[in-house]
Amino acid sequence: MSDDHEHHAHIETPAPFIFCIATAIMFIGLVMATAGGENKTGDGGYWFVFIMGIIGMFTAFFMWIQDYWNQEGEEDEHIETHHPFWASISTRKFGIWIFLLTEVMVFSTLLSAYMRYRAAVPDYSPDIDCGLQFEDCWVPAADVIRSHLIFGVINTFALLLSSLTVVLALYAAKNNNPKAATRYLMVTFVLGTLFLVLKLWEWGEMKDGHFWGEECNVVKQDIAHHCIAPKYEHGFWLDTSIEGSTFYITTGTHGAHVFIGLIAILYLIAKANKDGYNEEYHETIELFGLYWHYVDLVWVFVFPFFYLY
Amino acid sequence: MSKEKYDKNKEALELSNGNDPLVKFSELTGIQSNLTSYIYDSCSKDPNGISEKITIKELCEIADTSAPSVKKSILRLRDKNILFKGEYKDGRGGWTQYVLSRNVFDDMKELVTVDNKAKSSETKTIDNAGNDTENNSKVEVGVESASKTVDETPKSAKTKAKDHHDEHEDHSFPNWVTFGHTDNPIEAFVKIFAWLVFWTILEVLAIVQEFESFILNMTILFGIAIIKCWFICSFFMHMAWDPPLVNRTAAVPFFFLAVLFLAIGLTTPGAVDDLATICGF
Repeated sequence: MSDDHEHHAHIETPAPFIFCIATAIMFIGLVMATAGGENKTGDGGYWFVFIMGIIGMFTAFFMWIQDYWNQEGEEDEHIETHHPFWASISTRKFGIWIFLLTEVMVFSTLLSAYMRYRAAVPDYSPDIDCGLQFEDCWVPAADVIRSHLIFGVINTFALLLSSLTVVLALYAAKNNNPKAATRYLMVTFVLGTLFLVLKLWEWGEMKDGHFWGEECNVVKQDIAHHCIAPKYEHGFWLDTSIEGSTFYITTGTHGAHVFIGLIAILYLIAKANKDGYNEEYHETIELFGLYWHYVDLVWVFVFPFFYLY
Repeated sequence: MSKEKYDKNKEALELSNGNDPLVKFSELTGIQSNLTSYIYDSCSKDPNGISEKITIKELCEIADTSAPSVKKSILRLRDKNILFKGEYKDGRGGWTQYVLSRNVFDDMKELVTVDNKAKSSETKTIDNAGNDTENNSKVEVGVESASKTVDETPKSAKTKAKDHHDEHEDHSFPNWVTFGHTDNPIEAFVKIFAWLVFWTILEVLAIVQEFESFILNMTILFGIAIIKCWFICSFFMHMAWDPPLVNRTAAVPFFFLAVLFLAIGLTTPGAVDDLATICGF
């Protein structure tokens, strides 16, 4: 037996660093292109910066995949320290936790902004003067969605179930059952895809104003029975109102995280088919699981505050 | 044995004496632990501590896993300075001779000796209490048992280490969560999922009731969201079983969350929102 040609387990790749820089460039381009310039209405020249950022992100992403693809093992180096407290988890696991902390801040910002805006405007009530178009009142997305709430509920169950399947995939890998681990990962992918498909369909229906029933019309203005507010007569979209902006930005950011998670699952499935996860090598599934559970966790808060209330 | 081949084993022996292992044998788990035990058995037969010619097939059978997994584990053991590669033959019918780290070898030898002594004294006690006419056969049983211990000792150390690391098998779920005691982690996780479904249905039903009270609505929504959050974090994210480092790291953003939600999210439009006024300038 010879293992001379085996790949060394520790890989040094600049890909994550390049990815971060490219992401920053992409966001700077996006913000400046849409809200930059003298009048704060956007500077079209920054679309070039945005595209360069996107190209950089794709390049770094494929570099990253390429560097790790041929790695046969997993890095399991522990944090170098003289105190056992810090060496109790692997460096990668500590890294993903630090990443999740930054993610907590991202979604906390969005949710606190939502609460700030909502607190600034009174909720709709027939007892107060909300203006002709209800423009002076907060008519939440929940009222728009209420008649089709079932899709939000299905999405909630899909994400919760996908969290369970990730746990089962990890458990199967730890028990030397790589085929079961792959199957569970595939189920997770299907559930994640279902979530995104339903979400996109729901967005489309809301944008086009298809969610309000035949019995509801602008004249009736019966919001108490979940008919549509006049300001949403032509649909509910990102630029319709502040309610639309907060709803689409928050659920969109969450959807983007699900999408990134799906790309990661595809990589895990491909890697599982190539090498197989087992008792020895399963940390990548565990780390991905932490990310996926976090995405689920965010939905636990997004769902009640955007779909129910 | 050619000069070159001899040198490889010699080189491995020198490395095994000069490089301290990065982990102890008791810290090894799973395949790595199995392979180390097997290689120890082989090395202990040689006065110099060099293993017999070991094939990948043998190691696969011992570890009950595939060749790539065995190769990866061997590589990891070498990275940890537990194992050093000596003479080998590539290709069909290939084999390798290994040398264990001197420290690891001594540790394992000590474990075996301690267990042997324990077993021997156990056997003696049984013998003393027994009938004289049966002494001969009991001594035989004692020897057999001691030799069995030699074979089994590395495995028990392995099991101990595995038990320490395998979160799902080691850490039980609270009985109230799983509706009674269960040893099956899959069943327990399915029950956690059932809890999450239950709370989701409850929050949807509560909102469909359309309570007038804002405080009641918020209490229900925040309360149920926090309960669901606890279930996901504790069990799906393993925080109930993770070392304190994870829980303390996860607690860091609570300060920032408090700032965001209390100082920004819940302020009214009329509230002071510029730093100069807040500071009293």
